[in-house]
Amino acid sequence: MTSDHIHWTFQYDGRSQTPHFGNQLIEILNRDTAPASEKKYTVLPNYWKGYKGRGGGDPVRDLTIGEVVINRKREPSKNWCYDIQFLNTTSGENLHLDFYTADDDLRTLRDTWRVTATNGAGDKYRQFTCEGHITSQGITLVVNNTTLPIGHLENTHSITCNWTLFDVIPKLAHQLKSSGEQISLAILEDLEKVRTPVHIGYMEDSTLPLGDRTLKLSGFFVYGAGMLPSYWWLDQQKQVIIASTTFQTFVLTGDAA
Amino acid sequence: MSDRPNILFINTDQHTWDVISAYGNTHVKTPHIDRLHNNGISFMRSYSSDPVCAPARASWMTGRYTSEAGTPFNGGHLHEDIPDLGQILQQSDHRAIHCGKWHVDGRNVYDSFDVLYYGQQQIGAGGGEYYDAAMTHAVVDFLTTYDKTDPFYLQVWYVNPHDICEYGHNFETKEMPDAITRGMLTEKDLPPLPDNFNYDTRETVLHRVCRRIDECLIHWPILRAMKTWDELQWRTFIWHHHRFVEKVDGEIGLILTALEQSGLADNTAIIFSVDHGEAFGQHQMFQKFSLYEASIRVPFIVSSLGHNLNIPKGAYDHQHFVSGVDLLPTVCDYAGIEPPEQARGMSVRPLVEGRDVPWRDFGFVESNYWGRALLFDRYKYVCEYIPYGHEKDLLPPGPDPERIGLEQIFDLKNDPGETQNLAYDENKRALLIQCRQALLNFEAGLERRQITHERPTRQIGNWGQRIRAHWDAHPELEAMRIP
Repeated sequence: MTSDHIHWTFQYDGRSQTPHFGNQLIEILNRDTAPASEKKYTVLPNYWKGYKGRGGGDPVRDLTIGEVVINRKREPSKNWCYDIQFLNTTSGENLHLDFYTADDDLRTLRDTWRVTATNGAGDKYRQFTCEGHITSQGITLVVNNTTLPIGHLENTHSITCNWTLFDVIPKLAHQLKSSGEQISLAILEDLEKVRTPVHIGYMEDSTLPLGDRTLKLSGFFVYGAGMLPSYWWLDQQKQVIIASTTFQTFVLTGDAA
Repeated sequence: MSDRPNILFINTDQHTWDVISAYGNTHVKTPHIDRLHNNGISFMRSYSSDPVCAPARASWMTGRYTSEAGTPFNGGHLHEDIPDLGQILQQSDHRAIHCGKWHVDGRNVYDSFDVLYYGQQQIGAGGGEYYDAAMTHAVVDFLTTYDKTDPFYLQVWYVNPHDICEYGHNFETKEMPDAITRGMLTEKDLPPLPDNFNYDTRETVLHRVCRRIDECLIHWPILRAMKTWDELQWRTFIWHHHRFVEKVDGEIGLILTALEQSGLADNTAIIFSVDHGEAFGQHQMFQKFSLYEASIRVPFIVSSLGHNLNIPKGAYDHQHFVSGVDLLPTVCDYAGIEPPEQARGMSVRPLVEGRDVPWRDFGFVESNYWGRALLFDRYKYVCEYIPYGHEKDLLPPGPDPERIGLEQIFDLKNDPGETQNLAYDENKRALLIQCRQALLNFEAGLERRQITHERPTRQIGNWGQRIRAHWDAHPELEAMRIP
């Protein structure tokens, strides 16, 4: 595997990175299929030097700095129930998000949610727990019985969580690609910080050789006020197989079509 | 008015002084930093003591300039006998707490502060993308459970927008498509190229060897790549810096909300500042390391979200030169203790409260061990000391008129972008002589100390030889020295 075959949005073989980034990305995509109700993404650091977590495995062969597990199921009410776990061994935080969305294309956030973060770094901060609420009056978080108002949305705007983009982008992919237009929305980043407006658009198609097969990919970008551009690559089954931010690349662990 | 307020010091990293929407920048939205200005006073002539992470932070923590502190570079070593703010606050009632990036080389943060959070992989240069959110969790949890018996000093040292560094390094070895080619933005969405993109090439040899020539001392691979960038690529880079600023602004917002809703606003003095700026294309530079304004000028805001403290709202101070060495005395003042006698800085609290106190006539900044800048009301003087190229370099240079190399003078009133070096203008000769003498007089009062630790001595040796060699290889430079 050489860097030539890797799209620039997830090509991190250069500076401070061994040539293993591309190899490891491919290896992850080729792993055994995950259970259908769960999507697991291995997190690779875009800049290995200095950001590798302690105890995270062989620093030469394994760049992994974390894992995201996305579970969602549709409730009888037709809302979606999301359960997201995001472990990052560099920051030491294990983030757990528990929330509901409507069954619409933007997976609009509903009612209440819960965020729990535990810190494995060994300092005085150990755990953060927050309950969130969205009503017509606005968005509030409750932390240690303290209510924190964090924003209001205009009636015409809905808001979603950034972690639903793993579903929202596939839902919108055809529309984005065929129209060439961008879609704007509001995002509640990690269910705590309002980021608006955020824009999603189609970038380009590409291919990624996976050993004996080649993946055809469609790439999309997301950016906005307070949100650095991220790049989302869908396979032909319209699942996100690679999502890349400035510092992290999320790689679907197995199950890439 | 409480005489024992809590003190909250928030910093962002590599945040250019005017990338704040309250200051009129229309290309960035920083509602939460704006809130600090709207509830406080912004010191508009505030400067880093030394525009790179570790030196600037050492000055914050000690009130000393870097030629005194032993920290002229990243990888320096703070002299063991110089107390830091955490140690000093032990004399007070304030609990000294640290959260986030530290990067005070030679000093263990755990020896001086209660540490809320420092990262599982201890925070180094970048990674604001995941560290900053964890820091916010730590601080919000702290504020919402604080028992209010004793006051606290809490410093929250965010990483962003420093991630712009890694974003730039990303393109050392690959092409950087501009945001329009990517299909994301149109040209009107991109901030303009800075007016001072082009520059007067009569710069100090130090700056040339550090940041201009092939194989320069600092981050040559990315500088090499950037020399190939076109206008749209530069503007895309600038656009990214502003998004990093917005990202951390959101984190600050959550902290301020938690402070307010926890009933702490009325009795908490908030200080916001930055260790150094980011050039993002000004003088065709990126990052910091230089003595141009984008690198050395930083925000410094003293604020309160409540009404009990004597802190004005929405005020500006355009008069007083504030330095990173002033943080320690300011915190000591609010904590009700005296700073160490050797601390060079001064408390800005009297200025905040509208009291007339003696103040410095100019700002003083060091850079890359041999670089110096003085900021006067209208003019800025920049110079360098010429290295020996051997072990005599281990004593920080100055004040030595025989070793002054090339010089720059900028008229910040008529040329705020520093595009014309007036040092070679005969009409400015008297001014230049005055500036030189002011520098020499000032440095005569500093307690410069021999650098002894291995890593910085190695760097001084290596850099000194390279800079000396450049002088020797270019005899025309000698003719550019102004007698």
